[in-house]
Amino acid sequence: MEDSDEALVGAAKADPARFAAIYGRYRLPVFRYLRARGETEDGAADLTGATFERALRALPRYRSRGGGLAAWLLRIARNAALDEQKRRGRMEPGPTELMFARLPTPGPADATEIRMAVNALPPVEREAVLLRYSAGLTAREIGPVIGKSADATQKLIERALHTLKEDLR
Amino acid sequence: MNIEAAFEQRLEQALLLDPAASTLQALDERIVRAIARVPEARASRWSLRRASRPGLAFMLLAVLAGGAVAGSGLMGRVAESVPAFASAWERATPIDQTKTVDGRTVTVVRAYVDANQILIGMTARDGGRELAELGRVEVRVDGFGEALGLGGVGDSNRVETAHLLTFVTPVGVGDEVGITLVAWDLPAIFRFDVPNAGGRTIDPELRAHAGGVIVTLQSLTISPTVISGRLEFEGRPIETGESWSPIGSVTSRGTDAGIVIVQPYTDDSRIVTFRTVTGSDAPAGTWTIKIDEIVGHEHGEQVRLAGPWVFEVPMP
Repeated sequence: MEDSDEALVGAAKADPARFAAIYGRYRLPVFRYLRARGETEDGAADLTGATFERALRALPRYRSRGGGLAAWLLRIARNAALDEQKRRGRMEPGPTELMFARLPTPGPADATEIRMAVNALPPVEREAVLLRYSAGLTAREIGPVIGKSADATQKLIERALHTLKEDLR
Repeated sequence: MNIEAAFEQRLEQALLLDPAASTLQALDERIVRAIARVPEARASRWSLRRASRPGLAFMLLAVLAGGAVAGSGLMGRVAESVPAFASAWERATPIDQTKTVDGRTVTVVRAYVDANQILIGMTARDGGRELAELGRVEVRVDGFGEALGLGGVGDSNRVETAHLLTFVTPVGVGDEVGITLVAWDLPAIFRFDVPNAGGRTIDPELRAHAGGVIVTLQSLTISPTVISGRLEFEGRPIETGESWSPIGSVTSRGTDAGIVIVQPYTDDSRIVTFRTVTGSDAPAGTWTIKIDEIVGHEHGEQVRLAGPWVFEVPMP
């Protein structure tokens, strides 16, 4: 049976090498989320590295709250992405604006259309959709990342899906 | 599949953008380095003892490898998933010893020894199910009394949640290395011999100066799968319990390896050992060890000093 997230955290607090299990479980969800936010492959990898470095430093202070480990890591990832966006300042457009310029399409036209439709969503809905469908988080896990309750998050996602279906009809 | 589920599937397919294998490898190595650099003050509160610090990094790789292969036909995919193990795995000797007790089966699949590392690949099954946990495993080398710990000799003798175990090779092992492995949770004892792929070690005692810091390259060991060395730092005191961590590379013709793992050599924080996850079959020639910068902590703040400190080492 797979260890629970809380078991992984407990083990990693006791033994730093066990942080590997946390990294191994969440490296792809974190990367995919950052990539889907519009980061380049290198940019997403760099921010994923920064996310887990921050998490490693902060692990002794980790306490299980709403959303658990997944929400904690994705919140760190989101903050890292926002920090990077701020650092870029006005020198260049932020990740959101560049989402489609940077994504490595050509892929199926359908995928490009979907990404464009996602990008056109209101920011909080877009964030919830990315966390749900690129990082694979549940509504309960997404809520703490975007500062909403699980119910409110679920409604946001449903509204976003409705909008996307309309746009992609 | 209903319309809703089909639409969500389309959404997932459009938004799941995976990294290239090379990107993931670089990321893995970055996290290895991050764990290996966990400040001593914090690490001392953790359960592995100080001498096993490189083991932390190797254990990370072991856990990643284990995670990558669990439930998937296993060991051949280790090489694909973790670069540090790829070369050693390809060169490893088939052991294929299996012991079954009360329905639980442990197999030692392959083993490898060179001047830098001992690698043992294992699987564990309970009936038809692959186990993520190997339980407590103890490894001894003939002629060396103490059990090997991950990353050190005679340190920790417990390894958990790892299918691929890596140890620092004790100095002085022969051409054929006799290994005894005890899987305590079965329990079962495995005995096997592994040819030593060797390597070459010199003690150049070369010094380089930059930024008020003198770095001495005390030793260098080049084996087919790993390059390791020992460095001493002088001229800029560092807090007790801290060490400088070098960031740099080891190069020669056909080899360009980044320094990945750093650990204090002894309680003397001026001396550290470093490792790469790439080795060389052709050690003879001139090797360049270039340290671009060193990282440490003073008064709780991170300090980065720019080099470079460069060593040209003629390896016979």
